[in-house]
Amino acid sequence: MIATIGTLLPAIVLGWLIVRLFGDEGNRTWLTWVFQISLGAGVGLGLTSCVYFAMLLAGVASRAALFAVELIAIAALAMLLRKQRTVADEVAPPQSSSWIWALRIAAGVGVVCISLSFSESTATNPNGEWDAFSIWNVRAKYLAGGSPAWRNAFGGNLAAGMTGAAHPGYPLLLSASIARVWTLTGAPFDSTTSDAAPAAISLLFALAAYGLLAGALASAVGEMFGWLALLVLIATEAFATQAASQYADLPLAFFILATIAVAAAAERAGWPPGLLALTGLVAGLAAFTKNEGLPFLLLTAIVILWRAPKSKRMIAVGWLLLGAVPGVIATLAVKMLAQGTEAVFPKSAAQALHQIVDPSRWMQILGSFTRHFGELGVWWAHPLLLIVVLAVVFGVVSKDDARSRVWLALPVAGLLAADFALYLVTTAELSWHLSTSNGRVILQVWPAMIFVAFLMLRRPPEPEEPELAGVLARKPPGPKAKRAKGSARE
Amino acid sequence: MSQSNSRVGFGRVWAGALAVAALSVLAALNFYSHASKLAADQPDPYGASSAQERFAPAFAHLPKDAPLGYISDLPLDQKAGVTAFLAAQYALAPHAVAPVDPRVPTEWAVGNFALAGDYPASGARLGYMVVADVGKGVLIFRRSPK
Repeated sequence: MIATIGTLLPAIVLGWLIVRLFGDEGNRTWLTWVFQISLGAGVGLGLTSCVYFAMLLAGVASRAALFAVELIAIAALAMLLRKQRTVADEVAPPQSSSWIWALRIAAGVGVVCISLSFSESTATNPNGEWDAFSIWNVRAKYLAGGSPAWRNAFGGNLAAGMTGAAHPGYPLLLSASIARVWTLTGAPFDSTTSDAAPAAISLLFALAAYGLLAGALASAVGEMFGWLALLVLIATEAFATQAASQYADLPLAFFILATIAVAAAAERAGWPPGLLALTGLVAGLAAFTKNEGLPFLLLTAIVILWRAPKSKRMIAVGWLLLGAVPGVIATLAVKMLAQGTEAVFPKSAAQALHQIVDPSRWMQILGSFTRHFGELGVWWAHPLLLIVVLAVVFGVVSKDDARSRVWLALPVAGLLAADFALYLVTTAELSWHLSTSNGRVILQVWPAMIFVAFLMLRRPPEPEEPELAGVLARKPPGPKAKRAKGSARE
Repeated sequence: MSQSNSRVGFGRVWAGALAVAALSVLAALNFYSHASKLAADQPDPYGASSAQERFAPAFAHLPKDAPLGYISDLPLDQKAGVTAFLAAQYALAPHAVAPVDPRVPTEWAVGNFALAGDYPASGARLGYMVVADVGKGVLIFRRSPK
């Protein structure tokens, strides 16, 4: 376990440096650190996964080479950051009521409960749920097996070609991330392979998703909403369950949330190239995580193209697509190497049309979506109920404000629509397909939906009486350093 | 009046926020309780961990990277058979594992047997002979010479 954590640290550091380099908005509170570290953890895991995959294809994915590449990258990024760095104003966070401590403590207790649940589940079931050992982790073993074994990850007879287990061409971010850890730790294959890597990576993505949601909202609309959103996600039991499952849905949920959160930050900052590239980077990593990621990336690019100011549109999309290059190239490589096709896609347009016009399929799918939204949590603390309570208590923003923020929901809504369409045309037995995947499809977008929902709430009134406020003395502003030349920021 | 309205608003907001926080914590505690019970009641539900233990000794008898045929008394058209196959595939990775195809048989095969029976005969029917029996229903087969 210690060796596993040791191999994850360079990935986290690398990702954090990239986030600081491209996405630093300047004024920094301790919640900004939470946001940047959480985002950096996922970015680092994703990027090191892409690098590992590229080195594997090139035949140079040895332990020494991986260490060297990552350490050189960290050193280079640190130097770039040092050159570019402005001395950000250290600001005290905005005034908060002392009641904020109740939210902080509640969130802490919630995260501890989820971590303990994860620990107990993983102790008795270290290999995760069905898809973990039959799809993601088995591919990780193939990748880590070196040449020629890594090609087995794309084999046409993987899982005996069984629908639901074969999935040739499945993106490999999670598998490659696990394989990277095994390669770095030298996990042997002639005895029981270390089970720590898949579990640790899954937990890291889960905690990073929690931290990202809280930090991103705190940056956007204040600390109180950050903690409340985190508490709503904690109450989503279905999401907490995914950490121990070791599936790729949770990393995908992270990258979808990251895309929306960073895109929101990009708009707030006036569409700087750094934040746009970072938006593209996380969207591209979503594409390398699961098949749903590719349509999500396309939808994000279209929405940015529409939303950005006329004078900046093409440049904005250009920076976004540039950022998406690592994830997209890795995804395309997987698609080219895969042998066989996805079993659930229809073989002809006529077959697809026949299913699309069947009204019973529409009803069945709608019913399934409704049921699975209902199963996100216990009825008495259902996350949707909690959001409704908060909407009643805080109120919602004005129509103009809502219209200016609703664009963030469009890629998410588009992805759900694409999922709906897939269920319409799937050649797998529909009940089976829905029961085994619909819940997870919703979880992929759920953290992002919480993020957008909270942007629609009216910000809480500030405390007026001194005895009700935790008054924090504002530190005098520090000297402003000159911006370095060649900065990614305008 | 406006100051009093502000206090009411502030109080209402925090009451709602704290209620949400309390419910969320209770939900998390409830989840922990259920997850603990489930973990205790259903350890290794798919047999993936036990498959890793059972198949670990097989590696010493197999050439590195050799693709493997799969022979079992649990048919793949039943859930138990599918589960056993996928667990074996995971345990035997990075070897590629596929059910024996008589048209394109692999040189080596692995037997995964759950029931008592004549294991060598199961292999012989497919053209394989036993090379090693590593116990717990796991056997190593090799193509019989013609």
